[in-house]
Parts: sequence; structure tokens; C-alpha cells
Amino acid sequence: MRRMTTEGAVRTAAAVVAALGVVLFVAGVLPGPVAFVLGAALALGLAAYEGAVAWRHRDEAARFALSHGWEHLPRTAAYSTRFEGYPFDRGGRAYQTDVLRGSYGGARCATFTHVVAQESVDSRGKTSETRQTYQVTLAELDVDLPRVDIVPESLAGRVAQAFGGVDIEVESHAFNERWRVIAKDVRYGHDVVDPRMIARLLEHDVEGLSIRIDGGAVMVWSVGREGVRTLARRLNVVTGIARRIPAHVVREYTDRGHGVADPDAPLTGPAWATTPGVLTSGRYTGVGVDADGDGVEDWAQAPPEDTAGTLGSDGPAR
Amino acid sequence: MEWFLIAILVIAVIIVIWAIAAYNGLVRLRNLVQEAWRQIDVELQRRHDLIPNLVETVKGYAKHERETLEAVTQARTIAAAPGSSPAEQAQQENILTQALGRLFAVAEAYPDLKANQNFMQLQQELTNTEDRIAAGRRFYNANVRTLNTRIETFPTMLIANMFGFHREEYFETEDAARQAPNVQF
Repeated sequence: MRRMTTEGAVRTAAAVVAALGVVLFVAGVLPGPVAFVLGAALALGLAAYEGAVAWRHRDEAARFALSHGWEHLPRTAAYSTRFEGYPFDRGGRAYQTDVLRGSYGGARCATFTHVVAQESVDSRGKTSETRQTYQVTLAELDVDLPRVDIVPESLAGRVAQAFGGVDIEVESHAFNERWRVIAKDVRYGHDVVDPRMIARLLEHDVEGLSIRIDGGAVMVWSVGREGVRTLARRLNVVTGIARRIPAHVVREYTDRGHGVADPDAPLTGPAWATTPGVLTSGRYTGVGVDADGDGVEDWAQAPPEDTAGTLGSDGPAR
Repeated sequence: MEWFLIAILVIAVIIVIWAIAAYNGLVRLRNLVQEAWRQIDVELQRRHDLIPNLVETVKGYAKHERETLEAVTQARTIAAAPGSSPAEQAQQENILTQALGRLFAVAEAYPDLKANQNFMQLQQELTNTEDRIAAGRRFYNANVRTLNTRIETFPTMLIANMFGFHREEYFETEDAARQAPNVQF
């Protein structure tokens, strides 16, 4: 069982105090105005604490990026539509904060806090927003593999299986007791969870984590924020799993055309397609066009004086 | 009396529904086992198809290794023959694997052969096929395990015996393949 973080303990304590206050108020022990003031103070205190936690988290991330040569993005929505399933399908407004991107163990990795903000309107028409945060850490793959979820086995999972829920059972009883494997293609799920993967997933550092292979990445996610103190552990898990995906599975899906292009690779193609600014230069008149017959394609000509500085112009080529 | 009859009827309906579900489950599992076997068969066939090309490539460089080449060809012919049960097929494939192992060991003595592009590509394809066969075997054995467990556990065994469901064979390696080779320098 995972140890509760300090933030989790504070939130739990606040929830207990709030529940106690409600009970005392309902029981008539706590007068209404006093309960209201105490409740407002608790809410303000918790909001201030959350703000301080978020600021500290951002500061840690920025310092980590600076000292390790990683990229730090305070906020983005780039990952909101890339992945399926919980917690990316919660609805509402989703974005990522404190995104750290870099290289670890030979793989391109990233970690970020995924925030889902949901608005609700109460009976008096007042709008309020609740936010749920999840810490996601991922390792990029060179191939886009179908989704497979490997989640800790639970009572709810066993009940679901009794009523037809999916759980791919492998040859290790210890693994089957500890993990539930969910994949639409049972054969594919079985291929991914091979003996090497089973051995890795029986180690202690993956306890309590939910793992997913999807969208060209291996990811682990958990509720709440996790700082850079636990980043090495999470990165070890995702890169370890990525390395253990069987070679024949990678090859099969690469051959099917699911290979992921290296974003750092130089662009390939004709010069007119890979030279920046060609299409907005005002000189583009078509592929291979050489209207004046001087042996140089029109787009590569020096800009004509009468169209200089005009964007998107379709003026005649010289 | 009326309530008693209703209770008996409800219990009977539940038992019938359970029996239908158990029967259908066994049919699904049996079909899954057969399908898993067919998938292994596809990969085995692929391996059989690669071997003649491999033998011809090796023959061009290692003309004097006739015995080894004939062993591979003979093992391939036996393995590719239809009509074997999973256990028999496993045994034949193990013999073929051992013959291929001896062939690749022989190839080590011919540097020109090892550098041959066609040979290297065939070796890579065979390795990939072996991986896929191993994965297919795991999947097949997992389905056989599930089917055999259902057939042997109570109360599903009642339905299994009634409708003639039987244990399936695993696709296993030979005992010799499990022993570590004795290497002497």
C-alpha cells in the first residue's frame, strides 16, 4: 500500500474537520454563524495551502529542468486529446501544467500534472469549478501500439470479472493476483505481457501505479501531484516497461504502418517543401514552375521588387 | 404448496440458465483454443517456407556439410506434413529447431556465408518467426489451461462430461531442450 503524501494527509485532515463540523452543526452543538465562519476559514486555508503546493511544485519543476537540461512548460493542452481513457476522458476543460520533457534511459520522456476542471451550477444558479489533478509520467515509443491497461487488482475488478469483465490471465499466479490486464485484443495483451514484462511488473517499485500503453507511449498515472523527488522511480518504471515490450510486437505494428516519426529528425522532401517560409513568401506559384525559363524554380528566385514584403500574394513570378 | 412450486420452478430456471451459460462458455473456450492453434500453425508454416531458401544459401558456401543440410531438410519435411496433434507437432518442431541450431553452428565456420546479405536476412526472419511462435505457444497454452481448468472443476465438469468436452494437449518443449547444454572448452 502506498504511503500517503503530506498533501494527501492535509486534504484528508481538512475533509475530516469539515465532516466533523457538519455533524456538530446538524446536531445543534455548533451555532450556524460559527459553523459558517469556521467553514469559510477552512476553505480559505485549504485554498491557500493548495496554491502554495502548486507554486512549490512549479518551482521544483523549473529548477529540475534547469539543472538536468530538460524542457519546462508551465502550461499546455497538447496532451489533452492525445490519449484515451481515464483520466483523459473525464470531460470538462483539461490542460497540463508543469510539463517536464527530456531524455532518460535513452527514451524521450515527459511528466506533467493533468488538470481536469469541471463546472457545475447549483440550484441557485451559482457556477462553481472543481479541479481534479493527476500526475502522469510517460516514455515515448517509436511505434503506436494499441491500448493495454495494467492496473492493480482490486475487489471491484474481481467483481467485474465475475460478470464478464476482461482480465488477461498469464502463467504467473503472483502476477494474476497483483495485476489486472485489460486489452481489446486478448492475443495482443498476452503478447505484450510476456515473461520479461511479468518479471518487471512483480518488482516493488511498480506497486500502486496504474500503467497504460497507448498512443505511442508507456505511461503511469496517479491521483494528485507528485514532485520531482519521485520522478526517478516513475521514469525507471516507464522506461523499463518500454524496453520490455517484445521486439516481435514492435516489429509487427511497425510493419503495419504504426511507426511514429522522430520529431527531431531532419525534414525530408523536395527543397520547396522543407524550406521554411516558402509558402508565405508570395513567390510560390506551384511545384516545379519556372515561368521565365531561366532554370531556377520561381519560388527560389530573389523576391521581385514590386511584391517585396507582401504576404500571400499571387502576383506574377519573375 | 403454491409457493413451494414457484420456488422449485425458479431454481430450475436458474439451473437451466447456468447450464446454458456454462455450455456456451466451454464452446467459446474450445474455439479459442482451436483458433490459437491455427495462429501457431501460420507461424510454423512461415518457418517451414523460409528453410528451403536458407538451405540453398548455405549450400552455395558449405557444400561439404551435406549431412547437416539433409537433416534440416528432412526435419522440415516431417514438420510440414499435415495431420499431427499439438503434442506431435511440438516434438517435430523441436527436432527441426535442433537441426537449425546445428546448421547455424556450422555456418559459424564460413565467414563468407555469415557476411552474405541473404543469409543474414533469413537468420533475422527466422529469429523473428521463432519469437512469434513462442508468443503463440504461450497464448495457446494459456487458453488450454483455462479450458482444462473449467472442464475439471465442479460444477462445470458436469456439463463438460455430458457434452463430450475433453482436455486439450499443451504445446510443450521436449525435456532435452530444458537441460542446459554442457559446454567444454
